[in-house]
Amino acid sequence: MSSPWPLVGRAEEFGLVCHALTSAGASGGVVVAGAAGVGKSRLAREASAHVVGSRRVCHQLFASESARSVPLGVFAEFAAHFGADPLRRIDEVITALTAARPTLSTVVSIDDAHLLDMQSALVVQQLFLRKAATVLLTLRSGEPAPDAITALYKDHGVPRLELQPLGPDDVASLLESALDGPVESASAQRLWRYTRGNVLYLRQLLEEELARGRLVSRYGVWVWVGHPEVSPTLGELIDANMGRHPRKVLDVLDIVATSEQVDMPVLLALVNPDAVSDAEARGLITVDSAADVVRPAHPLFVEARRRHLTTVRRRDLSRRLATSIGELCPPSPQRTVQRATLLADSHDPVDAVLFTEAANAALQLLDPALAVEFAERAMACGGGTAAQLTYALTLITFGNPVRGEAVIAELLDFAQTDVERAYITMLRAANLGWNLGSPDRADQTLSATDEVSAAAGLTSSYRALRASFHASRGRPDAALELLDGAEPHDAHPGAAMFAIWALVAAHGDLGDLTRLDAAARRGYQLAAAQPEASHMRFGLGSIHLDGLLTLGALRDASAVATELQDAARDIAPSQAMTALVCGMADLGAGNLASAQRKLRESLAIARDAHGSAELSGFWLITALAMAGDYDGACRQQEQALWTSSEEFVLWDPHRGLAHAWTEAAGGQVTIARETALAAADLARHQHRPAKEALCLQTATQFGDTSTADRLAELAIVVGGPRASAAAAHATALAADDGSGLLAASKAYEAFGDRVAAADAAAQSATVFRARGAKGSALTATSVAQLIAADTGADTIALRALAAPIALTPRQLEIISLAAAGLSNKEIAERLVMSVRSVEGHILRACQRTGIHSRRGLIALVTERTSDGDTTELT
Amino acid sequence: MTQRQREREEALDRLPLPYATALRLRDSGVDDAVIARCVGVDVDGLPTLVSIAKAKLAAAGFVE
Repeated sequence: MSSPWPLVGRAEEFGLVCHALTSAGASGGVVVAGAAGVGKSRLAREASAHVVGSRRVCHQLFASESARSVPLGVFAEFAAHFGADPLRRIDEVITALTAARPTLSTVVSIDDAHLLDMQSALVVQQLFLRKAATVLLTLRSGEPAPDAITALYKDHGVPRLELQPLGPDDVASLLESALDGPVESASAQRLWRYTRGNVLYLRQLLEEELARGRLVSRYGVWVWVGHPEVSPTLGELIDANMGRHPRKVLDVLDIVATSEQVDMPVLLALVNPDAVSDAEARGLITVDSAADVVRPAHPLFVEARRRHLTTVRRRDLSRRLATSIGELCPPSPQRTVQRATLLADSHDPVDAVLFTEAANAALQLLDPALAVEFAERAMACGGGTAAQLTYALTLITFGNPVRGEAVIAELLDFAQTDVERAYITMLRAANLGWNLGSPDRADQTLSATDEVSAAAGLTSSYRALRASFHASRGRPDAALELLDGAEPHDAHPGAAMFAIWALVAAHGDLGDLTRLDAAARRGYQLAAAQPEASHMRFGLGSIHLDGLLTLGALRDASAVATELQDAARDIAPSQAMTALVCGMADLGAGNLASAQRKLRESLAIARDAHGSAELSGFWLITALAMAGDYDGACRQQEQALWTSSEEFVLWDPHRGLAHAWTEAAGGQVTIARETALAAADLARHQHRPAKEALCLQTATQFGDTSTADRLAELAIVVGGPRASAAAAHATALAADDGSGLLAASKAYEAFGDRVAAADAAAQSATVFRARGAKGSALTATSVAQLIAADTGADTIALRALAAPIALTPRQLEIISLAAAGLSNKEIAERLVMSVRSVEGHILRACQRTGIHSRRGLIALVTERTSDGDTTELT
Repeated sequence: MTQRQREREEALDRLPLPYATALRLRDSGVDDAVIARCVGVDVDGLPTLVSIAKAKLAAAGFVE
């Protein structure tokens, strides 16, 4: 961690203080007030250092409790040898401080001026009134200060700057500076929330969490994986800042510390109303009048207070709170979870029914850790099948599908009725088909209980699931046929959501933008209305977004990603998914740096979350490769997980394109084209025309000229702007039409695919250049370079534009492979040609460019300095 | 809401909450003593806080 921390978020405050200290027309002083730890002293120090740099004399003094007991104690170094007459001593201190310098050119800075004794305060006042010096004072807000000090800003016009805690953005910037690396967004937000932007708390907390290994770097992103415990050091800091309070106020704080958020009626049932008012007036609690709840004013106050609670007291408070909540408040998922949490802590006799209800409530609230805890407690006290089912559902919902499958298989063995068996089978099939990526096995599981599903009223639910498995197998027509175009209305909410996933995926594959969006909207409404389907909105989001991006509705995709981000709770699995979808949206729009960051964040959080980690991994490969980071993309490929079975092909086109982009980043043009074309062929074979169009577009971006006819056919059947733009692009490329390629670039830019726009413009420039149309070539080059600079793209087409004019694409490709370290023999194998052909291309490249060595050619293409070596063409 | 008002709102959203709150309450004509209480500062510090808020608003991209 860097030390000292940079001064972040204080530019305006620093400017104001420095102006007050140095400006000719300034008032002669400034007071910086604020809470303990907010950064007053640091700001004053920085301003003082700045003043010294402008040739003023600055005396930095520090008031303290101990110096307060001695008259003129803070000025001891200036007052030690003077007489007993206080007024004379004050004059002599002022003279010693200012030493006959021009008025106001001396700055006297006093930290914690609220601790000054009366005589010292009088010195400060006289320095100001006599214009003998400029005063810079820091004061702790809420602490009484000597009248002589308060009069400065109340009566004499000295500006009082109330320094505020840092906002979330400034805390995030500060963390990134201190940790020298990006910090995962939700972690930064949590750290801000715990410390409320108080820099002193933040620093202390960061040091402790680093030391305890709860702040870790994953995939180049810092993630906070812990819940903070208040160390003795931090606790003392907080205790000191909280100050002393009467017992009745501490009782209020104890209750709030036990439950964090307390309904006002519950609190008033347990303590005297005057005590609540007193606690609020002391700034220890905040009252949300609209919701009628009480919360701690600062999260760390709660943590610090908990340290002081004895076990007996905590259990007693927990029990009383749980009882009052049950008696006084209308039931809700939040209150169910609250009561269960309190009762778990109270060690009262257990209630399996309450814990099962609380587990389901925690699931609805997307709190997997609590859901698992409550489900385990419910099972431990004999909760039966209901508790075990909830436990299994929690496991499979939040990232442990393998363990979930084991629990479900066990449940099936002990199922007592056909209805129970059918329901458990449905859950098992969903887990097998989607989380474990085995739709065939999932289908077989459903088939085994087809007969009982009808008796259990689950026929529609089974059909919904089967349709989703068709979609995951890349069979959109079969999915739509089974559903007859709409999700069944009598299906279990979870199954209905799977049907919607199927509809969205199928319409996305077939290129029906309107139906895709309509089905997705119905899905989000279902998630909002049905708790059982609530958590599935994020999986829906990834499929919805994929469809929008594939068809070219990129602005809609960004809007959907933003909506999902707003809906996400502060829970790792949903954060991982929203980071994924935001990364996907950024990638589609060509915001490559932002896409890489968000996808890394998703990976960093999702280390323990199945599914999203796999998707984030291969999207990150594409984002890295599009930016030309071949090594990074290869490293990511080595780490990428893919646990789904072969029949789960939903994401295969993108996995194929990730490989193609990586090969392109490595200069392997021919292979990249072949990979993209192979992905297109596969999509065509599966009858997924929208995905096929995307793959063919990519091949076109790589310079393949065989895609025009097929893209023209697809443009008729696939909705959205992408297919027609790609068709125009391919036609222009095949015809060597520079103007057509530039028009295609504009078409891509119009709907937001900026990387494709850059590629088409670069190809246009290459065509114009080859024809000697210098003006048009310059125009197209400018377009390409502008977009490339904005997106960070570094693609085959852009590199070809930057390459020496004399080289052919094949020569460029061979030299790029040589630059990657391949020998001529390896290049020949890679490009399926003879070694002699490779050598021939290199020789001709040398003749064209006037360069005499292989190394020189590599240097020319990669812009490294040539060492003038004239040997070794192999 | 005009485009300029929208831009101002967006810039206010980027400010730390006490500054945004102070400016919004000022816009609504709320008394300084009430604003100071809402924001949690001494009333003598409010003029400087508003001045800083305006400077931060300008830094966030909106110059008044």
